[in-house]
Amino acid sequence: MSAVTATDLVKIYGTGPGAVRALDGVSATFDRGRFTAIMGASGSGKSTFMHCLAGLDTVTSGTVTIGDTELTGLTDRALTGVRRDRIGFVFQAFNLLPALTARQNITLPAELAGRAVDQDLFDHVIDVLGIGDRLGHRPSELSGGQQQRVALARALSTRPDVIFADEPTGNLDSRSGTEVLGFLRDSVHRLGQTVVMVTHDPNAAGYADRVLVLADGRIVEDTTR
Amino acid sequence: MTAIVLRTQLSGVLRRPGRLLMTGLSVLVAAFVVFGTVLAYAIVSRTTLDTFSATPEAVSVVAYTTGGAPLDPEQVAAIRTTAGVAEVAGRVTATFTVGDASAGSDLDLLADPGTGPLSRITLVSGAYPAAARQIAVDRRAAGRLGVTVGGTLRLNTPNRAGKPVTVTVTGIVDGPRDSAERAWAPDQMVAALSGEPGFPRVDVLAGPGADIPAMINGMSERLLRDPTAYVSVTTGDSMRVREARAAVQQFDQLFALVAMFVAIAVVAAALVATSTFRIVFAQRMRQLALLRAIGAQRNQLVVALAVEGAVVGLVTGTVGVLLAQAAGFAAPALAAMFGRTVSAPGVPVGAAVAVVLGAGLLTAGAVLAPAFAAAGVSPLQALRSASTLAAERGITVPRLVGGLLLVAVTGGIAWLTVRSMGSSEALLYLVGTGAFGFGALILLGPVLIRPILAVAGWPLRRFGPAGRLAVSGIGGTPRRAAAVSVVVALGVTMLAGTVVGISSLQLWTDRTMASRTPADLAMFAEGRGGLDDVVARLRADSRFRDVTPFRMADFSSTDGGFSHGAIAVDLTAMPMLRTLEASAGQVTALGPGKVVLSATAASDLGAGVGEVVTLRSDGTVRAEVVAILTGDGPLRMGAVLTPADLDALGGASPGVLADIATGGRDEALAAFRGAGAPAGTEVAVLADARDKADGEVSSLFAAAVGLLGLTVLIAAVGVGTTTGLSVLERTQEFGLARALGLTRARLRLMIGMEAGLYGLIGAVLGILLGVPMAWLALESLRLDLPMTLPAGRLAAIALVTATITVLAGLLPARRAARVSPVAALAAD
Repeated sequence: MSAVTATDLVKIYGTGPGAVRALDGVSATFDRGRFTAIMGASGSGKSTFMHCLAGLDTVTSGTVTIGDTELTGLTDRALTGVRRDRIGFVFQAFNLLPALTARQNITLPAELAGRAVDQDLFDHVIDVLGIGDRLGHRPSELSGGQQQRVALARALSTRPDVIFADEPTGNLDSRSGTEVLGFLRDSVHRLGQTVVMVTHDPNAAGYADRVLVLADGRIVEDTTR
Repeated sequence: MTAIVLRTQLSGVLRRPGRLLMTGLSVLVAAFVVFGTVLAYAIVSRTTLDTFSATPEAVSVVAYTTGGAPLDPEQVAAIRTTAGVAEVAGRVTATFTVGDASAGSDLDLLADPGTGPLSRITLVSGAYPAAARQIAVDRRAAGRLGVTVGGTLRLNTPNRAGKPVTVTVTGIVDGPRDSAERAWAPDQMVAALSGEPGFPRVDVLAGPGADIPAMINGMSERLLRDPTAYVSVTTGDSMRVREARAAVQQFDQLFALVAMFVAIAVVAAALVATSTFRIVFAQRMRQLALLRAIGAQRNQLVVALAVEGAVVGLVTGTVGVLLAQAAGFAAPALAAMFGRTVSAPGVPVGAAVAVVLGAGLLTAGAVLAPAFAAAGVSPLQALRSASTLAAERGITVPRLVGGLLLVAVTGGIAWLTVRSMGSSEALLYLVGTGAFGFGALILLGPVLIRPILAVAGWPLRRFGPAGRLAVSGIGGTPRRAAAVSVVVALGVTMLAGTVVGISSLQLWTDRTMASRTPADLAMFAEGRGGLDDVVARLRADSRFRDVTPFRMADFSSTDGGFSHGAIAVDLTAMPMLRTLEASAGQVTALGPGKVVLSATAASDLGAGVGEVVTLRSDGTVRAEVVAILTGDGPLRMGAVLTPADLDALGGASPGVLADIATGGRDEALAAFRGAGAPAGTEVAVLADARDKADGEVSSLFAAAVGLLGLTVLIAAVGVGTTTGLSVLERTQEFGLARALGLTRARLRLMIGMEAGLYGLIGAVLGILLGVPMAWLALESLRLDLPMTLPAGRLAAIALVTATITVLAGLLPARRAARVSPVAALAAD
């Protein structure tokens, strides 16, 4: 059973002779409960691939399916709902709203959906990530590693179909980075989450179950451990 | 190096002229308002000078007396026979009373030739008086007095010894208006009617080709033969200019007041500019940090940023001045569309240059504080990511200490204000209290945001996540919120103070009017004879309602002290009477052997509620005081009694009060007069006095609110620009919120609510500061006005302010909602 399916994705930026083919017919299936890393050099199309998979950007042609929902052709409103309810995000930097406390940031997706927070899951996630004593702080009062853990807690606390992580360790020192990668792997193996991570760091990719390598908008390597 | 730093900053400004306009929008509005005021003064003065026509255009020479006796018939004859004089017209106003000698309406009879170049009136119907005992009335007087062409009026001369004269109304005319009802007749007929043969002023029309200077010399020679005569002779032109100048002078005071409000608006603009530049510089923090990293000195950055401020001020100031000038030129055409004649303002170049330079200086000054703060950026900031920049901590300790110090100073001066009550220093102390209080608000603003937000924000929290996000968004950036809200607070403080002051004035007027003018119309009979027939007839007439008979008499206190009036009237019969308020006791407790006293009568009698007073007239009445009113009794009477007690007092004369139910006032008045009242009955239009008082209060209110609205407008511009700039600054934040599932509509709602909250917080702060200030002013200036808390109006101010700021935030909110979620991920 696959969490995310991409079929023949093409993404072209610009028109005419200046057009850039960022994705050139990419197809891939991401299974539930697996940790997949997408690698590639700068300009390989790996970030564009993730943006399209997550419904953040539109595709020129091809389809993306999350669970049983096809994203292509959805209205902005529907797409927003999908992101809120079925996708979790961890970005490289600027993951948290500066005006909200850590707790408010974590419960934000539930707030936006008008749902009650799953308190048991929240407590469990906080406990696993070890941020229980930082919940009243604002992002500016947290270290980079703590900020990423709060972002991860936010992503996990909605039980999303899939978590997309975009260079989650890019801004961290190696110890914090290792910690965050450990948490991501644990969330897959202990909580049964599905994680898709974009990275250019081979060390980070080493934590994944499967590694896709992109070059010039195509998948050139697909390794499963 | 400074030049290079300056160039890096200015090139950014020039590349985005739209942003420059946004930064300086408040300065633009302020320059527009200031220069607009200058032009408005020019327009008003010129229009007055051009169109003022108390002296007809044809008048070439005016002879008048300043004090002393009027020009007697021989002097008038001397003027008439001076060489070159074609025609003369005496100018005099005689006041008569229509109806009974001691009663009735005043009628001003003015001298006018009726036709020809010296006339100021035009005939509407009938003929202009040509024989003795004839007058023409203006249309208002005709309506009010119920006369038509061919009718007669009985006029009483002001000097009571003179016998009443019956005159025939021969015509209806249109002429210059006044508050009094006016009649017109040729000068000799006015003189004959009033019994005063002289004229205080004579207008002269010169014959064709007459030598005016020679004429003036000739007249002066003849008139000034008597050295004790206070006669002046001047040209018609200089008379017109003098009259116009006197008319313009009344505007000088008005414009001095306007200038004060404009000054407050300028302060608001400076505050808005400061807060806007703070945001602009925060956006450029990394660029400034980079400049510092590569060796730019702190003071070089300050100079560069201050110059940038001055440039923005000069440019937007110029635009504001040009817009105001364009509006000034458009004013005559615009006024013409409404059928009014208005003169063009001209181009006051000096004032324009002063306003532009002032705008430059003001902006350079406003930019200093943010420039110093921005130049203090650590070079390391250049290397940090943007997410750590948006955070704000509370206020620094020196700021807190300074703020608390100002609070103490404000309290001290407020105490001084109360102590120096009624003295001339009170006003000065009052201004000091306001200024220091506002200073404290500026310094302590960020600390006050969260507590106020906790109260003002709770309804928004119920609006779901967008509302909660807006509230936390503002709570998370208290310094920015305070900077914007304080400007709104400045406007609302003044507005709230004015509203409280005017509400107090209105309450006082209402109370006064309830006693002075309890009904639209009143009739006072001369003798003891009853008005029962009149009452019955008025009650049967559907044009009237609340027809209430009353009787009144005079009394004095036992020891022969002050004399007051006593009235017997049903205090529940008329709406206005029901509003009479007692400062002690109950008005409704009035009954046989009981009395309600006015405030002055109670103090003259030295009586309190529950005590028994003795009222003395022909008879003597002992009555228990059941209530003391806040002011006068009905029709300014000192005591209200039951009819039986008033009879015991003796000497009562009857009267009737009535309200107009339907139809116009003039028509109702004519019917009221015609209701069959016995001879010697006086009729008063109380509604006129009430309308005048109400009109004064409401026009005062409208003028003050309109002028203070300017400050609120500039504050709204501040909220708009702050929201707009913060939208640019928070692109990543909004992108993230969109990525996490905030819909476009909700994002717009959130930003709109944030803008509204700036307004709401400012309104709350302003009301908290303005209402006590107004009370302090009422108390310390000893205006004897009651203190009021017009909660409805204050709530309306808060609501309108919040709405205006929401509207100001809508445009930036629309733009923010277009942010793509990918923006959150874009490297910066």
